[in-house]
Amino acid sequence: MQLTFLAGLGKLHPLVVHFPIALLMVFAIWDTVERKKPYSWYGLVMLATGAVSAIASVLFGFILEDGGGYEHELIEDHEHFGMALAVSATLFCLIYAYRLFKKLPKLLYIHLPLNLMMVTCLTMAGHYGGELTRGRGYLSASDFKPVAALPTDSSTELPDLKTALVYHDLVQPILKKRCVSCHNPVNAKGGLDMSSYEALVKRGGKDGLVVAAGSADGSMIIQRALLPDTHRLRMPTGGAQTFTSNELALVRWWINSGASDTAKLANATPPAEVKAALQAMIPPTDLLSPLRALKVPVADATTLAAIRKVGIQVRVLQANEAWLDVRVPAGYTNQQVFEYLKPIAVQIAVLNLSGTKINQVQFGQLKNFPNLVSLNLSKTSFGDSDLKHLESNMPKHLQVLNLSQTSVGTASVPVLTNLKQIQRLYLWQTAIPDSEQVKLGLPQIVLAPQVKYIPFDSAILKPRF
Amino acid sequence: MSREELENHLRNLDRREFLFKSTLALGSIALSGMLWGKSDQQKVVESLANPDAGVLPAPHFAPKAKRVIYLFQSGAPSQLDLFDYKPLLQKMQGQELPDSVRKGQRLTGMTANQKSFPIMGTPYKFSQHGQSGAWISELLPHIAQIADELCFVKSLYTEAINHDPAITFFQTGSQQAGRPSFGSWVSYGLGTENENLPNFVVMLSKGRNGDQPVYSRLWGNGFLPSVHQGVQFRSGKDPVLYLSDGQGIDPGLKREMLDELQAMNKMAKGTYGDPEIETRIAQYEMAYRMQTSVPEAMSLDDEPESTFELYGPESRIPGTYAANCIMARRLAERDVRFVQLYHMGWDSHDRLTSQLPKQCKDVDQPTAALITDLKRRGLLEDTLVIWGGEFGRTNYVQGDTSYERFGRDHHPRAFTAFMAGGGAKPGISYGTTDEFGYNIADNGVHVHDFQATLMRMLGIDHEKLTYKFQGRRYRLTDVHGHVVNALIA
Repeated sequence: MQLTFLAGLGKLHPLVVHFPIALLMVFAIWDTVERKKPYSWYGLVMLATGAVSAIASVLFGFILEDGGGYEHELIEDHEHFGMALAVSATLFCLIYAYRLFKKLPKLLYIHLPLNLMMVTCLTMAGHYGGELTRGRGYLSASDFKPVAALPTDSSTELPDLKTALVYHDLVQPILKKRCVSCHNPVNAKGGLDMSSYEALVKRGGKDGLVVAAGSADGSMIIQRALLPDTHRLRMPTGGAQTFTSNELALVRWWINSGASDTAKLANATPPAEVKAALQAMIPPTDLLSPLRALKVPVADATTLAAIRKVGIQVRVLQANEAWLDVRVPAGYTNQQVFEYLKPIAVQIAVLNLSGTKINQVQFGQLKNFPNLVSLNLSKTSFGDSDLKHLESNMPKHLQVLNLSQTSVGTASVPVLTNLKQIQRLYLWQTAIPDSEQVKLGLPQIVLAPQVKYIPFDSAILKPRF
Repeated sequence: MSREELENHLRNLDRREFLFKSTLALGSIALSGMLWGKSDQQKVVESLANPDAGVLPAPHFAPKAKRVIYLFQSGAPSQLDLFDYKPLLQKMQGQELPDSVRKGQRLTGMTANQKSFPIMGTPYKFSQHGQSGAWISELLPHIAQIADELCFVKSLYTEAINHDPAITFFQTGSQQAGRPSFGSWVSYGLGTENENLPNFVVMLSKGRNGDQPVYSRLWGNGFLPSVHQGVQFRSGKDPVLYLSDGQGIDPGLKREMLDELQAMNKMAKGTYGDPEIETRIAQYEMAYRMQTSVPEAMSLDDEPESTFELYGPESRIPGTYAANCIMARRLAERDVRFVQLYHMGWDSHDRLTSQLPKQCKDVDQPTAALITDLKRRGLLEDTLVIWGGEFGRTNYVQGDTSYERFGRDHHPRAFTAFMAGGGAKPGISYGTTDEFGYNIADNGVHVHDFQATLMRMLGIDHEKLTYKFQGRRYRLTDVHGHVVNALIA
């Protein structure tokens, strides 16, 4: 609704709503008690004012909802029952009035269901209304908020971290999620609009500026969010979810770093908890993502059955996708293995040959597998010469290459350095010593983690108080 | 449809199903339903015929993990002394826990008669580790060194307050026993990668405190076919009882006997069509293969000295947690899908300060070693390692408040676990508790949510892996559970 002057009318909803509650409840009881008596004017007046005020409540309710800040599901339930109440009350009123004017006898059988319906709708709408203002579980819970209602981080909104601007790409989405439904240009509660940098930082609200650049603890936005749940001024109001600790860490860091709207994430050095917060918000990655755009035919079931018969394990990686995951069992000696796999070479995305007894000459055939994303050659006879031969035919999308416990040595270092598409390269217990691997400084080499032995100090058992 | 398939269908169509299906529609439609529709039983029989396959033709999502190593810390490790740093508790040492924090949380029978709940801060030093700044106490110095590999969940919560229901809840998704365990579900859904070893292996180790026992139903198959049950590998000479031949038995004779048995079982299957017969045949064959594969897997003779140095001095002693960790790594190398270690003795109701450090000493180095070992071999890529207990411990004292004797009671409302590897987002700490470490402040993860997320890392949609039993479809997460995407790498 663009008519801002009407927006204030929404505030009449909590007032007007008490009329149908009282009138229709009393009518329902009275009508049931007096059901043997004919239609009466008193009844009609009660029912009519109840129905009219119910309609008015619904209309004011829509205006109030427009102001925002209400939980979607809850408000839907509240609306449905409220509207059902208005409709059933109006319907009942029209029938009642008609039959009263026409002096027709009472239609007893419709009274009970209609009264029951009105009372039910009234109770449910009232209950949800209570939950909307007081928070879910208000009636049943002690002060304990159910865990499911506590705030959660979302993990789908993170932009590309390399080019992200701190305010626009990180802070603004958080404010949008938690604050802007009540603090926006159309409905700026407390005179504060949080939807743009200008309004948030430069203009502030009726209580003054809310962001004090350089001091998060001195900024009203943070102070209000950290107030206890029951405090009158605590933001957000109405039991709505507040910042998660990750979101709070991000916003605080932004303010402490000067609350700029041009700062880039790549140029900043965030503290550990902000790094962790960002890490937590990254959505899940997909190993097969480079392959998703490719179209390969689905492998034939008889071919797969034949391959399984010779002892090779073939699985479909993901339902309704053509990509396959092949595990040649450890100790496999049949040198025809690549021949067997040729018919499905295009579909194989993951190939695990770890521990197999394939002769070195056979590895040349690895060039026939163009769509590999993960290749495990650990504990095989794969060597420097094989890597050299494979260099020009390395699968374009290969992300993970496991060469641990093979004879690959320093001669392969130039080849390995050129494998830019690989994200994780395992070289543990190859002929390339650990010190060499560290010196290479290639980010894709997964270095064997060094855990220093720390002997148990029994001093830890001594009393500390 | 071949004659054999038709016979199979008709045999598996018991009276109840026939009546049910024939009431559904007109005759012809009912007939087509009987012929083409597959019941869960049917699918199981077929999946057993191809022992590699699980009931799912393929995972619902591209799996990030193919194997799970679940390091279950039975008894409930004290998260406030290990991972969840709460300096406020140290400041408020000895003061009564405010009611506004406790909010009427039910007590165990052990503390129900306690008149006061004095706060006890952790006596141990906490510091931040790695690039991720993870908070870990001085009790776990080796795990602290691999902090950047770990995915901490600090906001786990459960309804169960005592061990049996709580562990059962974690393993089976329900506090009441009788349902299949997590490993059984995974085995049922995804099948086996190595047909020579059981799909689900369990190993136990004792701790420092009069241990809460664990029961074989925790790795049981519930109502799933018994081929999916966990197999306990014992420490000592015979990892699996009665596996090796008796003295003087000719191996050729053994094979002949098994062949004859199989022929007879197949005849019985032809008559009755009971899927348990198929299980029996499969298990005999598996046992035969295990006669060679298990000793090979369990023998540490081919392990270099460096392995024992990595895992610590206890790793040479069979039956210890450290030795079991080496075993878990070996089994992961051999593509065993689900390896579960139970380490007991965390239940520090009293004398926490003498038990907890020693308990940690037993677990700290081997856990870090396992993750390190898996990582350098490239196995951590697709192996999911989980470390955690069944609930947490309270921030108030149970019993005596003296340093030597204080203990902590059970605390279901907030506790910590961590994961590493296949699919778990490294270097994060998800979820926070309030400053008392009592309630969750944000990002709560219920046990069912945890299970749903673990399933998702394995590529399984937890709502779609079901088994029909007693008239309704069951799944690990029952009718609950939301995947927590923030935990998935």
